[in-house]
Amino acid sequence: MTASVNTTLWHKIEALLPGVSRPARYIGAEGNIIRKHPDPDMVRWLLIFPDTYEVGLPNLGLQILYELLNDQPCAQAERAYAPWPDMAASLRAHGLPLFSVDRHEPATAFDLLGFTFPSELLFPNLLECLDLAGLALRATDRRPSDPIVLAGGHALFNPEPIAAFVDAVVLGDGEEVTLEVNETVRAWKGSLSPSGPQSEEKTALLRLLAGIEGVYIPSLYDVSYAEDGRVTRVFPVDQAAPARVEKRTIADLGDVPYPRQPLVPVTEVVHDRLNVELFRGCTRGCRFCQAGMITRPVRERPPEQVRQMIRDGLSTSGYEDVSLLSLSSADYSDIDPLLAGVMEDNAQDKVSISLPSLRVDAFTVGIAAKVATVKKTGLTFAPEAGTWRLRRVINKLITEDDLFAAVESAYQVGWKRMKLYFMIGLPTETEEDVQGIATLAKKVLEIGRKYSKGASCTVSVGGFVPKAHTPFHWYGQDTPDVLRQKIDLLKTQLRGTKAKLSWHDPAATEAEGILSRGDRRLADVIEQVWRSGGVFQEWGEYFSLDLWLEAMTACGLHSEFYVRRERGEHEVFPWEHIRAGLEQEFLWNDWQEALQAGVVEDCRWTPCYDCGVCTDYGLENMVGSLQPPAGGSQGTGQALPVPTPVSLLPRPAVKKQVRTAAG
Amino acid sequence: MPLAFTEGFSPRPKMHFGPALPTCYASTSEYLDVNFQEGALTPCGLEGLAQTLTEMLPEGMEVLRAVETDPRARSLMSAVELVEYVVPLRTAPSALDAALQRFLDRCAIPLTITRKGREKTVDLRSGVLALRSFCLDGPLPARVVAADFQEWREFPLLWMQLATTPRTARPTEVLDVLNEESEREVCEAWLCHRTAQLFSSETGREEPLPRRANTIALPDEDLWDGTGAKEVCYREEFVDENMKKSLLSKTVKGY
Repeated sequence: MTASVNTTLWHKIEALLPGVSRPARYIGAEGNIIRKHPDPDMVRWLLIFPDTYEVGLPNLGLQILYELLNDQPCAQAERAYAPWPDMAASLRAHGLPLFSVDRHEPATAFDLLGFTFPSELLFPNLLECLDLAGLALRATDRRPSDPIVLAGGHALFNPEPIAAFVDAVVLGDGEEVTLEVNETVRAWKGSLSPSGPQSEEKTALLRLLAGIEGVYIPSLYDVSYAEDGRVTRVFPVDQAAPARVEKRTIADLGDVPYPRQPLVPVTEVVHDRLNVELFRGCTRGCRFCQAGMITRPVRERPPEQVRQMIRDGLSTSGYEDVSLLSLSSADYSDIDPLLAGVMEDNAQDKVSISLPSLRVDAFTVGIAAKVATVKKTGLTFAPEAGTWRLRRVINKLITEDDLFAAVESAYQVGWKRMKLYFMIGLPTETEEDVQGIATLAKKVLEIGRKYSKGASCTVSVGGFVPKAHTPFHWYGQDTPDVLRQKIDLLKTQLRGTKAKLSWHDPAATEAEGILSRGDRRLADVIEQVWRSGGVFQEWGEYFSLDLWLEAMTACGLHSEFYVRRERGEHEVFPWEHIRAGLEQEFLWNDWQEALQAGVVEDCRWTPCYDCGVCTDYGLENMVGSLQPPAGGSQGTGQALPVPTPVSLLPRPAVKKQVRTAAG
Repeated sequence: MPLAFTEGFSPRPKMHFGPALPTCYASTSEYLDVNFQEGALTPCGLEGLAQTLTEMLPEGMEVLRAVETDPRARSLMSAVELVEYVVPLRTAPSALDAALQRFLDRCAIPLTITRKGREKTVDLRSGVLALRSFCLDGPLPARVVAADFQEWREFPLLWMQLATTPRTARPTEVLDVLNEESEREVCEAWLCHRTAQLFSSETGREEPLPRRANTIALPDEDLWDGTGAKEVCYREEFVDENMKKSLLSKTVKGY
């Protein structure tokens, strides 16, 4: 492999590969790789997924930006993934930096390092990557000539814990804002003298970036705290910084048909198939679900475009499996005709279609069965809570009948393994709700036995972590001990049955809780965790709650304050200045409704509740059909067995203003 | 491609590989048997096969030739009796040849390996049939193409021939034994290269698809370039069952 510029580290890195685990992580060489030759007029991006290659490669967001940027005449993008600790040690021992997998260039050869954070526990890996790149951890300690460190992703809707380490944060859909950042950086680069940027010039760039909607520059803000530790104000300290930073939203996904040429890895990765995005956003209104809240409104990709992307994607990748991604794929309004069309397009080949994030009802199982041409191994449903009462609290409106009908039809058509996903530690949860999980599992097994002796059911439980910009961000999370007791209760209840219980480590739930609603003071904690060797905290073999608790103590902070404390109505959150469009008043009212087990129906097919997103951003739900899809209680819009206590407002006239007044 | 698939619930393409190349080794000699649907591949299609596959494969992997073989032929796994490696050394003892001779003079070299969690002692010496050093400017071992090693022109290169039964020794195991002698002057390898895989035939041991103009040298007669080379012609056999193709692939970076 000979790279066309002499900065490539390939030969040096190649020499390290025999000594590390899974060396194929570091070679790149994927199908559809883009090796664009950089020239001085281009802005060079290194897109970094701060977890392993196997986890990061399939990430759709990163692949979209990779292709989109490389399609621009003035941009060049490569990718990097966090090196596993053996490789990181080897790189350090040989004085080699973090490198791109495309052309094996050092991270500092790039103008921008763009990180994506799907989850909070990856934060220490940001420091690992920066350090391996040879950069100072804190933005203020970096030189003006160092790459600009940018970050985005769902976990950064509360960016404050890593505010000290990054130069800029991008909120919401990345396609448009990334190009605007690219253009701003390009013009800025062109204005520099050959000696490179000086400190004032770097500051000037950050001020320019702050003017782009969706870009947050942490260094242009300050935070004040009350004596009890609570945040009292987050405020701009520079005129270029808006009082509130609004997220970006692509109004019509039809405008951004990416990725066109999905990367095909040479080694096995997770989700190793063609991934095609059906829609963004979800208005089911599940109150625990940050993704559903921060990606509103619903924007469906046009069906003919989905078909085209599947056709092209299969032919350029050679994949035989397609996964149709969204937050609830059966909710796509033209799902039936779309799938029929896709099946018709691929009638000759052995193509199998899967719909992850299945809605729980028989209709959905029916369409899943139609398209799953290969063997039916397992099917996953997420009722999330064990009783109808608690499901009303979290607004996951699945009745027992929906679940049982879904499971019945699944066993009937040949699926044998059901996986049921639940959360524990939800607001208002009682012992009865936890027992309800076991009751549902037993009933599911009972249904399964009618069809197959080998019918099995796995119950998977995870501790609930309240997330920013959700109606539950006021809630005080369960302690690891309470979560363990709830798991023990389930163990007892399921003993002697064929149900298999698996659970997420309550200690990891605690650490995630610290970061999810954390503030800028956590920078010291994250840095200490990293300095104590705490990398890859998403991985059981490296996670250690003790590292986090010790770091908290050393920094004079307490997890009780961040994790356990139930916030009041007038709490000022660390992310007060970050906006996903949702009005705090809407979230508070929804939180109060939740405590009364009051429900909210899907606003795709009911009048608007005025959560704030559409009205503030001049957007609308973009669905192909005015009729809800057929199905169970969620689909048909059948009256639920409780009255809907939320008052229905008429759909407001859409204000065509893009940005709300700052402040 | 009109591949033949296995029967059953989850059909898979019928493909068979030879002895696996260890991770992080390069190779210029890998073989793969692929079954195609009956009558699906025309002679013309066979010609374009190597190029088509090369275009689809990751950078650094090239299919050099594809030929039709007898479907009743022995599997690659059992047919390959010898494999040859070239190992460029970034450091080597000053008396490398003497060290190699001492290795070859030993009757047995016990080696403890872990297989499926169990420790087992095997003899490394009996698996090493030949072991020599050479440099690119001097005479080359048979089947070694100088162009493949230009990068390491300044370094000594080790050439070794290893048996595949009862167990294929690894070049790195040979280096480890050589290095046991000395703590200071050790052999450190660059990338290990597999340069040949040999089958036995009526005329001796030969590569099924040699790289250079169908000429091979017979290892038993002369291991060195030039002398003893012999023309080998490949018979095209007509096969009316599933056609079986042998592919000689050149893997520049094999991971």
